[in-house]
Amino acid sequence: MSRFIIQRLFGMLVTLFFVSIMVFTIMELPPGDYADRYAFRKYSGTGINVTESDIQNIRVEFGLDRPAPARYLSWIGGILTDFDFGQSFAFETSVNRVVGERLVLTLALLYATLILTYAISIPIAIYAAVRRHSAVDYGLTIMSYLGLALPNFLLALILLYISVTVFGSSVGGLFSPDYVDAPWSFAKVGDMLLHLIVPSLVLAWSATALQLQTVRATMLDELNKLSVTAARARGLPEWKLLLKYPARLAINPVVSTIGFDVNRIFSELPIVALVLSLPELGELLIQSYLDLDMYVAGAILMMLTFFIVFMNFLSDVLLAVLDPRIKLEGG
Amino acid sequence: MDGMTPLPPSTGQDAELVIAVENLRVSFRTDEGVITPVDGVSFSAKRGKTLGIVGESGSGKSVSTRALMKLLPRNALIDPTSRMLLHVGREKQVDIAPLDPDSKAMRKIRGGSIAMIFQEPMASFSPVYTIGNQITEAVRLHRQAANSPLAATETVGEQIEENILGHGKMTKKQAHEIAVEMLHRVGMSNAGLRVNQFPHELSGGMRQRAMIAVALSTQPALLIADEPTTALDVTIQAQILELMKELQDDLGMSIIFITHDMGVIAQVADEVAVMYLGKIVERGPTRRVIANPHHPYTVGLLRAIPRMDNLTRRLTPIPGDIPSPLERPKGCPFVTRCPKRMAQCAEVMPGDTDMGDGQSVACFLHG
Amino acid sequence: MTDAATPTVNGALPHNDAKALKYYTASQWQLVWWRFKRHHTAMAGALFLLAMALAGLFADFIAPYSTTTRDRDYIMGPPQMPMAWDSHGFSLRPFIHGVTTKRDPVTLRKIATIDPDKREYLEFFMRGEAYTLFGLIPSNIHLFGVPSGHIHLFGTDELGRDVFSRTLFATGTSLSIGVLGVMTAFVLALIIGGTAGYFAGWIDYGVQRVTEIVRVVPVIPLYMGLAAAFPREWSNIQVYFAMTMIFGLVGWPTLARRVRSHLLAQRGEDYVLAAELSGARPARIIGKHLLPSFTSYIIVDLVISFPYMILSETALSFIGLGLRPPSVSWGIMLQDAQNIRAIEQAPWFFIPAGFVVLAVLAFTLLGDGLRDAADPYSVNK
Ligand SMILES: Nc1ncnc2c1ncn2[C@@H]1O[C@H](COP(=O)(O)OP(=O)(O)O)[C@@H](O)[C@H]1O
Ligand code: SF4
Ligand SMILES: [Mg+2]
Repeated sequence: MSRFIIQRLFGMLVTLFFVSIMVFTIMELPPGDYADRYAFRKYSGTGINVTESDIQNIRVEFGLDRPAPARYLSWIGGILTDFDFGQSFAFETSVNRVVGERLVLTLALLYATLILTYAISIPIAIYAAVRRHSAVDYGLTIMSYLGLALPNFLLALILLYISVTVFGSSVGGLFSPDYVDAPWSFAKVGDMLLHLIVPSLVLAWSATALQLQTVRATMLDELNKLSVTAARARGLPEWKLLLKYPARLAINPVVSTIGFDVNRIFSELPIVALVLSLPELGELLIQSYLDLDMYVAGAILMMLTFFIVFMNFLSDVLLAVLDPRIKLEGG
Repeated sequence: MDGMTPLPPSTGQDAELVIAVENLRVSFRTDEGVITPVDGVSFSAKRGKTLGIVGESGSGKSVSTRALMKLLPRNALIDPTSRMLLHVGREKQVDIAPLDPDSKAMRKIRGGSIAMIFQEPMASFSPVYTIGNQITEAVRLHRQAANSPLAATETVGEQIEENILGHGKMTKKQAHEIAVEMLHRVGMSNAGLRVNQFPHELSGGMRQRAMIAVALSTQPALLIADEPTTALDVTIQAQILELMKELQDDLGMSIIFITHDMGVIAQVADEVAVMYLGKIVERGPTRRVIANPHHPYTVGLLRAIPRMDNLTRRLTPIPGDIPSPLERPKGCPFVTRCPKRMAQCAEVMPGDTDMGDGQSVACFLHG
Repeated sequence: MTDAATPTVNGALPHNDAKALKYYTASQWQLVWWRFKRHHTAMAGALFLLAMALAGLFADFIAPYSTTTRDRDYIMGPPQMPMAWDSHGFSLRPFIHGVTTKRDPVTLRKIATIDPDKREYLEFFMRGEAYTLFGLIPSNIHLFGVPSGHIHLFGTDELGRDVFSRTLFATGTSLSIGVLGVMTAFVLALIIGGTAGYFAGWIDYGVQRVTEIVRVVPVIPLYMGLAAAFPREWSNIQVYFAMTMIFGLVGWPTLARRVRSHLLAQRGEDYVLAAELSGARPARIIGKHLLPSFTSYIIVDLVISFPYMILSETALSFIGLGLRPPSVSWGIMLQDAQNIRAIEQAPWFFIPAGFVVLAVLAFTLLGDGLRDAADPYSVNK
């Protein structure tokens, strides 16, 4: 087992290395460089005339005059040694401070969404597969089609519309006005959890739709397995049998797609966060893209990807624990 | 600890009946309409004896035996006039036919009184639990703790009754011990180790042995073996057949052995029922039927056995395919392929004709 | 157990021998078509998409106005539905009620009110604004319109532009971006996946790594990052093609994976070896022998990847990183709905969202139907 884990950890590092190169490329893509934007931001409208040599000075100051590989090395080196993601010029402070609390909120949102997704989809899908052609089963089919067709951010907009027109209050935000700037306390955490419900439901929307379909299909497959008939022939009570045999196996594809779900949630997060004005990383990511604040964008992209890769790793390990058929030795 | 208690030797010439199926008819609702792949069959199995059911794929062997355990899918319907009498005690009988598949009584019969093994030993086990897990599950469902009077029961019937009524669950440890012993009993070396292995870690033959161990661990009165050796190669098939015979001699259970291979029937069955398209077309003591087949279909099946004395002769399988239950002929089911068919065969269903010595046949050539 | 529904090798021929014969001798594509026709939801999806594509293609003709025409008398006006009868009685020719505008005496803003006594009759094939269909055919005939005043089936936006007309044009844009995106991804997948699957070895390894990376980076943030790099001074056409490019760039690995695994599976088959021995070039072997063996699966994969492209375009344009006004796409139109004040007053801004949902739904149903039809072993799940 430990060899398997080490192997996977190593694979994870390799992937992250390639990802970091891609992220760095994206950071470098926009026309002009940090120095241009820094100078423009700092001096435009101030009446100070900025010359090309001033910009060149800024470039030297930040080490931007060096070739790309060197810049990549100092960027990734900063992250690895000091957990330093560089400077945000839009906020005129370090990226770490800008990201700060938002990282925690993002993770809270992620885990709330994952828990909701699985708590809803697994039992319903199992039930629908067992009671095929029942009302629940047809309901599931309709819901899963709708879940795939109605994008999360539109659902968020609709909920927002309903909350404003019907209840006269907005479902946006992660805190009540009283708590926005308050220091962390139990009351604040409780307030946040309450505010997490709607966003995580919205984010769970399409992931749930997909898992409903997957679990139901696997469950149907498993129900027809000879091993289920064999267990029934042993006289096991029906519900016990369903849980011990087919349902147990219908969990495996869920476990193996955790990373995929995290990817999907993070993919949809920015726009949902924008609509629901959630102060987390996705919303900041959009803002930094629009400002071309590329160190912030790069940091966020790296962080989101890190969690996806990490959850992939976790799902591999979990799957190896759950399914004895997976060979722990091989690649 | 003694995990296996042999049943007392049978009394007299007429061995006791364990199960008697009368006029079993099973239909399925399908998109194309209702089909009846098992159409009024009767058979019975006796203690310590093996009934072989033989017939090509699609003749309804699996459906009729799964009906016995109420293991049919939801779209199946067992005709209400069918009777499946499970003998409980010398005089008492339980009719399985009207029992609810999900009822407690039915669950007690499944695994407790009747156990089943299947064609694919791999698929019969769930891949995510150990062999031992699946044996102990059966044992704990059906067997009583060591101090219960099970060992002292007199007859199969009482034992079944005991199984149905009994209380006093075994501990996991006791069940585990029985599992190890059972694996040892079916000829697995290192049983103590094997019990904790997963199905995919065993070879095909070992898996089928393990499956037999699961089935017999509850001391059932009847074992249904649905083509248990079809997926195995010839030498392993012979070992498994040998093992089943041995266990039957020791434990005295009745076996219904399903196969499409007359050669296997010749090795294992005391009595044989030849099935074709949902009907039993010929039956009788195996020796008699093989020595003196009357039905053209039985003749055809016997011709298809490879013979040691004449290996150069090509096997002659019966030409043509078995029709689907949707296209069942009005008269004799075999009429579409019978080399000896006559005018009346297509119109009227032949009745059973007694050929003496327990052999009977349904064919116009004989009656 | 054999399935009684379809004749199998073991089963007997169905009663109707001619029909059965047809079944056994049908080509693979005929079989796919027959199975597909039985899928009513997939059929409905296909027809709906066809209608949508035609509406987008002929938007110039169907839409009464251009995307920029402003009706200053009817700003943020609600949808006007043609009717056949009102308090004044019944009319064979459908009409809408006209609009009268007054100035608010206090704010001096123009306020439009529906005048239930004023009827504007619909005219068909009416002359209106000039356009050039497909940039080729100059015309000024519109499918319908009203001779005086304006008609706004889906209402108007904050600038008084016709939401119906804009939605039609947006449909064309959004669908075409999807088509081009899928095509780009497909061509890349064929080239890269084909190479990797055929040559295996290190090319295969490289492709696997790239696939792995694209698989772990969240897709829409990745699109956003690429779109953020579009220079501000790019024209709308440039942005449009750049977007199809990035969809293709990010979309190919999934497709390539499928192509690759099919190729790896088929590579050892006898007929491929035969072709190799007879000296055929790799490109020819891939194109002529290998690809046709799983065309149906590729088609299914393409159809299934459509919704992702459409949703991505909508999402990007919605947050302002994709197409930019004056282009119109579903995402751009939905920008108007971002403002909670606006949708409170004008819920018809959601109408384009309905188009997005229906398009994705139709593609999904179509994809499911095609998959079942293409896979002879599929069971109806
Ligand atoms: N679930 C089912 N639904 C419809 N028909 C079935 C089902 N199971 C079995 N059958 C039909 O019953 C017939 C007999 O099947 P089976 O008992 O499995 O044959 P055998 O075991 O003799 O090979 C088959 O021809 C099949 O068409
Ligand atoms: S009844 Fe007729 S068709 Fe049937 S087996 Fe006998 S001879 Fe053949
Ligand atoms: Mg069978």
